[in-house]
Amino acid sequence: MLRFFLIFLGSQLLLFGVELMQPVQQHVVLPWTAFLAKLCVMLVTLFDANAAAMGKVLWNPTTGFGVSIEPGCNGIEACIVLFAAVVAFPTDWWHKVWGLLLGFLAVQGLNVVRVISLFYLGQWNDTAFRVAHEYLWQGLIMLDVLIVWLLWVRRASPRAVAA
Amino acid sequence: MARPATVWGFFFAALAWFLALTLLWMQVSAWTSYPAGGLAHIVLGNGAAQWVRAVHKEPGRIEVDTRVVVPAAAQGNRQAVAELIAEVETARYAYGLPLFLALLFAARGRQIVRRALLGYAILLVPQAFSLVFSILKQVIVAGGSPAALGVAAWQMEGIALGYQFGSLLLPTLAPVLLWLWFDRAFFSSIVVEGWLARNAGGGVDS
Repeated sequence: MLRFFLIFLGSQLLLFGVELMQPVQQHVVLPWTAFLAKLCVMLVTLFDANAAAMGKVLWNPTTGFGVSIEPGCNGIEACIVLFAAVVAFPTDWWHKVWGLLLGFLAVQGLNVVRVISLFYLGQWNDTAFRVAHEYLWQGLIMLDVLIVWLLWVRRASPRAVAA
Repeated sequence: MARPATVWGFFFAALAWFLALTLLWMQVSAWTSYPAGGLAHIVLGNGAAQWVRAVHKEPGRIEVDTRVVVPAAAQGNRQAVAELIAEVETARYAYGLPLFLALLFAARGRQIVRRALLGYAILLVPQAFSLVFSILKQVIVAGGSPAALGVAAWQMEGIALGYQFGSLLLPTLAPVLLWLWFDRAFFSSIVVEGWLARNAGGGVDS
C-alpha cells in the first residue's frame, strides 16, 4: 500500500507539472477546453436553442449569462488523479491502458454534465450556482474518480498483482 | 456495523452522505475551518515574515496586512500607493471534510468517531496549505516583479505551482487519500471480492 501511495503521488506531481507547462497549456489544455465548450453547446442545443460557444465560454446570447470553463472545470485535473491511481496500481499494462481510456471517458462524461448543469443553475439562481460550483461538483467529480478506479481495480488480474 | 455489499452500494451511500453532509457543513464551515486559518497564520508569520505585517482571523475569514506596496487611487496629481491586504475565506478549500466523512460513513468501518476526529485534524494541514498559497498568490500577483518582492523567479514559480496544486487538486485529493489509508481493510475486501467473483465466473461490478 505504501508503494502504491508513493508511485501515485510521484505520478500525480509529474502529470500535474506537465499540465502546467506553457506548451501543454497552449496545445492540449486550451484546445481541449474549447472542444469541451463546443461539445456542451452541441448537447444543449439538442433541447435548447439559446446556447452558444465562444472559445472556452458556454453562454446564452439571449440573457447574456455564460460559464467560462477554467482550470479545474475541464476535468483534466480529475483525469490526472485517475491516471496516477491507475498507473500506480500493480497490474498488467494492457489492463492499465483500458483503465486509462474508460476512466477518461467516465470522468469527462460526468464533467460535461457538470458544465451543463452549472450553465442552467447559474441562470436560475446565483447561490445555487455558487454552492454547486465551489463545493458540490468538486466532491462529486472526485467521488466519480474513486468509484471508477475501484471498479477498475476489481477487474485487475490477481496474478499480475502478485508478480 | 455491516459493510456495504457492493461497490455500487458503497457509491450510493457515499453520494447520499456527501450531499447531506455538505449541506450541513455549509452551516458550520466558518467554525470548522477556523483552526486551518490558525495554522495558516502560524505558517505565514514564520515563512513569509518579510511580507506579512499582521494577520487578522475571524470565523470564516483570514485577512493579512502585508508590507507589499501596490498602486492606489491617485490623490490630486500625485500617484498614491497603498499596502496590500490579502484575504481568503477559510472554508474555501475545506470542502473535502464532508467528502472524507461521507466515505468513512459509507464504508461503515470500525471506530468511525475516532477516525472522523483524527481525519478532521489531519485535513486541517492541507487546508492550511491551500490558504497559505492563496494568500501568497495574491501577494505575487499584486506585488509585481521578483525584484520588487525580494524573491527569486523560481520562488515565484513555486508559489504559483503551490497555489495551483492547493486550489485544484489538494482539497478533494487529500480527503480521498486519507480515507483510503484509514479504510485499507475496506479497499482490500473490495479488491479480493472482485477477484473471487471473477475467478468464480460471476459478475464483478454488481
